[in-house]
Amino acid sequence: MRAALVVARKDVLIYYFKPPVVTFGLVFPLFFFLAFAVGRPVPLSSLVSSVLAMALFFSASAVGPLITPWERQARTWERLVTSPASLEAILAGDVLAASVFGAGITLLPLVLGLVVTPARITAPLELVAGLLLGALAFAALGVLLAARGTDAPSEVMMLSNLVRLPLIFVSGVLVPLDQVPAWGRWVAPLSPLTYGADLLRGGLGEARFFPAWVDALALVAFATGFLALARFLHQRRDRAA
Amino acid sequence: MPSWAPDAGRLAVVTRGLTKRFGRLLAVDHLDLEVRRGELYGFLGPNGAGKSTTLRMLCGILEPSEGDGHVLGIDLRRHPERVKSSIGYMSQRFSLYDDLTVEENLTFYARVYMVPRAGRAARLQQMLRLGDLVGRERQLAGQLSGGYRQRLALTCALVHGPEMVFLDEPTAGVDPVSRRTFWALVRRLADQGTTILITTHYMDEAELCDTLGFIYQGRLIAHGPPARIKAEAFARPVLELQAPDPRLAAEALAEWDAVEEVVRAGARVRVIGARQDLDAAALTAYLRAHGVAAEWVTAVEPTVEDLFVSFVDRERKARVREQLQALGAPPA
Ligand SMILES: Nc1ncnc2c1ncn2[C@@H]1O[C@H](COP(=O)(O)OP(=O)(O)OP(=O)(O)O)[C@@H](O)[C@H]1O
Ligand SMILES: [Mg+2]
Repeated sequence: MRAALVVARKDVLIYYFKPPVVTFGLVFPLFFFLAFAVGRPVPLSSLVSSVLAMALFFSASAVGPLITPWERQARTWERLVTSPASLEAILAGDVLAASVFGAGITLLPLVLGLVVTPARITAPLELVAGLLLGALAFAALGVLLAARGTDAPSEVMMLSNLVRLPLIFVSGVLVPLDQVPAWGRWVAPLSPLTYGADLLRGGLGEARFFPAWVDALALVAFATGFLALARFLHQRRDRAA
Repeated sequence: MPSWAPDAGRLAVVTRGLTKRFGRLLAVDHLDLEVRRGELYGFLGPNGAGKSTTLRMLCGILEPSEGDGHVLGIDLRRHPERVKSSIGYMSQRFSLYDDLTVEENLTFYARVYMVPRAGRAARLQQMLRLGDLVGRERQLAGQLSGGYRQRLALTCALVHGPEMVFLDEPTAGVDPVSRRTFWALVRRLADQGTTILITTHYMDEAELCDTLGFIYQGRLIAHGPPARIKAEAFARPVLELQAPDPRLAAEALAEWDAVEEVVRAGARVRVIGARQDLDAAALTAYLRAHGVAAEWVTAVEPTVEDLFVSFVDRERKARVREQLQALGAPPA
């Protein structure tokens, strides 16, 4: 697992420490925050959890889908899989870097929300679990999106948005789950964001839709599932062709 | 247990019937390869011959479709992971992290290959000196010129002190001076006991190897020391001539059955004979009889390139013959 740390460190150095990436990561959640806050009759504080969830979702899954395609193009991927670092370690490293980036970026809207709105942390454990497990699951999604077929970054971005946007729409972040029609309640559990947002809501003292342990378990299950699938796809590609 | 026991004490690489199919394409075709420990083995073949595919199987990243192989005594099929930690690999078009500095690239690979922390700094210094990269530690790899990138890629492949390295076209796209420096380095490594399997398209480089393997359409068609290959497998005359109209001369010679191959290089024409008795006098006479002027004609040493052309040719002829026989036609 030391190899995973080495890979994560490399990812952070190369892909996350770039000014545009960091700027984008910081501006995006702020933009969300404003977009949500303007012209809403609901109290600001009840929006904080939604904004956090979205910021976390976007930042943790933003860069991941591009890393492997970039590395495949630059052939450093081939170099990396020739090294003793196992595929599992490489993917774990990618997830780790993305999680740290996502959780780190999300601290900004959190602090902002606590300062400018009446929102308060009521259940720190749930909040932290929501941040960490959410980051993990969303980062794993990003890594999975990098594993499929094409290496052209533009196509990967298309695919990534094609997958991520619906996951946001069904997740209950935009509209609370107790206000959506029945079919919405059926599809909401399919999105990992549903559970991440739910935990964060709990952390900020709002009503949760699921018990906290269900949320946590679901996030872990999503992370594991995404990673297993990513591993399978990479293995099929590398060993056979 | 494997059905055959490779001589792991003497041989660094042994393969039996190693095969790779990509769909219907047979990229590597039942390859039997032997590389002795400590030798510099040159792997030659035209584009698409299957060199990189073979290397990638030997490095444990590509699963063979058929056949077996042992690298440093380790079974490729059963322990590809163990192969990976004992070898070094430099892929075609040196893969480096362009956004990391020279030192960061080296450090990254040192960590990935689990070079113990205690000796790491000293090891990195040693690698920087080896690659003549001292003073450029903080430069981004993406900003290095070809020769430096190449040597950085090599040192990254050597940072964990592997017993064997696979170098896939390490001199492609690099200027002649850097090529020479690089080969001096490779030669020195081999002399110090590292086994090296290297692919190249440059025939002058091939002559610096201890052993050559010629691969064509996924098959090993000839192998041995360069000198022996020249002496035994290629006992045909090679001549060079200069003519005012080299195109005309080449065309006339190509018609002649005493000539196997005609290659034009600028104002010169290189001729590989099909018969022992072809010499400068005979060639001059032939040209004169066909009304073609030549400034001079002289016998020259065959180069590895000539060998290759002639092997490929023979192989092609043999295949055509096989196909004809399969059709029931009398052999030509
Ligand atoms: N991943 C792949 N999928 C399908 N076909 C492949 C793949 N990799 C290589 N090939 C094909 O296999 C054949 C052998 O390719 P390989 O790269 O091993 O040749 P090479 O000898 O290294 O050539 P070059 O000198 O151009 O590097 C080629 O026809 C190539 O197109
Ligand atoms: Mg190749």
